[in-house]
Amino acid sequence: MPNRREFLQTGAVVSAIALNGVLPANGAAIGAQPRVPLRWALYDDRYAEGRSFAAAAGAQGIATRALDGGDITRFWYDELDVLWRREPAAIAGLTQFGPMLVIEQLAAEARMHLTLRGEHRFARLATAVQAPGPSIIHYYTPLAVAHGHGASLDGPLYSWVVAPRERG
Amino acid sequence: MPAPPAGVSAADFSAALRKFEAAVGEQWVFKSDEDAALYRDAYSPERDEPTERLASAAVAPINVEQLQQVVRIANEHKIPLYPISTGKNLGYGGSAPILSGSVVVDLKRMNRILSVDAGRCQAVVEPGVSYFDLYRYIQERNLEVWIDTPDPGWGSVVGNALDHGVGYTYGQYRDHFGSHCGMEVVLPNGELMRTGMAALANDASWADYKYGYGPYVAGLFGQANFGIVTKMGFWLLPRPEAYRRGTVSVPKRRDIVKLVEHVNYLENLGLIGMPGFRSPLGFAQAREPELRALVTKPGGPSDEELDRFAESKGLPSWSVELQFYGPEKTIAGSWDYVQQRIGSSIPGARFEEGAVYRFPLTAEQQAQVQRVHRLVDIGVPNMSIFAIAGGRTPQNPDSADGGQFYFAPMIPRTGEAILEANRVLGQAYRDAGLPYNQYFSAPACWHYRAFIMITSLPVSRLDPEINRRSRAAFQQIAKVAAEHGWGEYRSPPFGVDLVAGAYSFNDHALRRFCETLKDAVDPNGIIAAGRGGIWPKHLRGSRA
Repeated sequence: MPNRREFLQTGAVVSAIALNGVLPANGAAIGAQPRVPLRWALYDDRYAEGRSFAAAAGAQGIATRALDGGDITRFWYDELDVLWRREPAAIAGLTQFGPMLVIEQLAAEARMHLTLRGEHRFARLATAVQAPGPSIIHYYTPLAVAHGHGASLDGPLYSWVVAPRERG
Repeated sequence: MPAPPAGVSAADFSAALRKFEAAVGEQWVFKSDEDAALYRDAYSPERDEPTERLASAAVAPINVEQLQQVVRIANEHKIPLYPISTGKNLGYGGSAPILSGSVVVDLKRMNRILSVDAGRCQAVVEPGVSYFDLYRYIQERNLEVWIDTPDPGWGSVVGNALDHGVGYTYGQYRDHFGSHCGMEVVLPNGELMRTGMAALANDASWADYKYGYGPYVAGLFGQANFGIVTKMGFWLLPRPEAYRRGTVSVPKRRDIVKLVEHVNYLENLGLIGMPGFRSPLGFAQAREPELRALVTKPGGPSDEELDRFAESKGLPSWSVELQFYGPEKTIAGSWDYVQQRIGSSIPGARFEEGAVYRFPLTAEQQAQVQRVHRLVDIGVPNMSIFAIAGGRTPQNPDSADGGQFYFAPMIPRTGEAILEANRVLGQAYRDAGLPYNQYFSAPACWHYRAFIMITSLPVSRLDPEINRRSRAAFQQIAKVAAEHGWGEYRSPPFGVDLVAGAYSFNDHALRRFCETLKDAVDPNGIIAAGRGGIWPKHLRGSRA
């Protein structure tokens, strides 16, 4: 259950994205664009903050999509890749860094870019500890995950919007 | 308007950009700072520093004819070009040029799948085709072939192969360049050339036989800058009837020597796919303070001390995951053979039977596979690896906002080499001030019949000191590796000269040979300056 501060943070992001469809004119925004309708709000449902974000976005009439245990593959392959081949539609999200990076890189192919990017460090992340272990290369096996070296929930979350670029 | 590349006048640059626009269409020439920023290396260890490698502009042709015009224009005005396929080579430079100020040639629009022949198990594709694209094509037509995909699978089939990229399935299919067959190339003078059987005027077997007749020049276009590849043929793995997995564990530290001998035999004979060596003892460090104390004590632990600890906890020192592809009865027999062969050779060896799948999988089965397995092992591209990003590490405690680049030396394919590399690289990392899993690191076997003792070094978008430390560590450790005869198989852009310089036999005869070729085929030095550590003549004196 998120605390009030975390909820307000999430709410502020969602409000900025969803209510106006206009990027907040503050330092967290990257560039500025006129009103941009959002096709989807993507979220990581392993986090309470993600679920709150999705609920708020849904209440604003934005279709939501949950990652698969933090994995963006299915959403990309089944829906987003198909959509972006047809049209450069804007989407928003509250995810870990990895999925945001994926979206940013794939959006560039469609001549789109991040127009909003915010980092959220919640209180529960302040005491992160990881012992030295195998390199990240070897993390990704069921054995590694079973030994606690797999997917980590200990990291900041990122709110972001990807939208078509205006040609200069 | 972006700044022109070094050595190019503003007038020449402007003229070239106008001509690029005439060749490909104005909307496909990207001249603004924002456009150029899309080609930044997302994992650059030089981010926001003066040395960060940045594109001055980008041009995206849609076909070979447009690309040929771009190359001729570049020659006319001496504009350095840097071709990318899909630009997803994160950890090794991504979409950014090695020579800052180059114009990126974005080949993503050249994305046709020209053919997939399931009977001959081959495909011919353009550079803009990703592993996801080829996989989707095959699935939609229910063709009985597999791709061998890297992890993640968002990259270009052509681009990955040209960088000597690697995969996860069976045999030589993991060597993506090695399993290519025939290519088409735009040369630096704009001329179109084909290699292998594709060089026949009416070729009938482009992707059957790779050598054609005469010198095998295709190798010149991998990790090099002698032309821009526009088509490549690839051999595909036939969809096997079944797949199974088994794990072999051995109790003692030095059992790795015999274990590797056995696994090498099995792989060389074609009985297994990619082996996955691990140290279960190493994984125990996080939860066993006694083990951590052992490995951090002055002088380090002896083999006997580690063996005693492992025995006290009932932990194997090493394990290897083996993969089998083929008819169900055949691979069951192979697994039986493995148990008999290794069990009679290494006292205390244990065997754990893993999953067995018959193909094709249903969607539900594939979802289950993803929960317990790596999908790349069965030729399914995905981006699950990005789901494990997000954790802080002692090397990069400030943020998960960054990435990594790789130190990837090739070591001899022996257990002794694994132990030696652990010792030497552990000391090298300590000297560089970075942690290393010294006693328990195992090589990746992505390349067929090879050991890559790969580690990653952290990159931060926020803290340049982390990047400086990582770069310095790479340079230090790469030198130590070279002294032991372990050269890297790939390099991030800032390291190309250091990595290429290690291959110095006979006063760098290899590099001098490549420079002679470069001067002959690309006298203006317009194609991918610096790639493979090969620089055009006008930049050789001082690396730009």
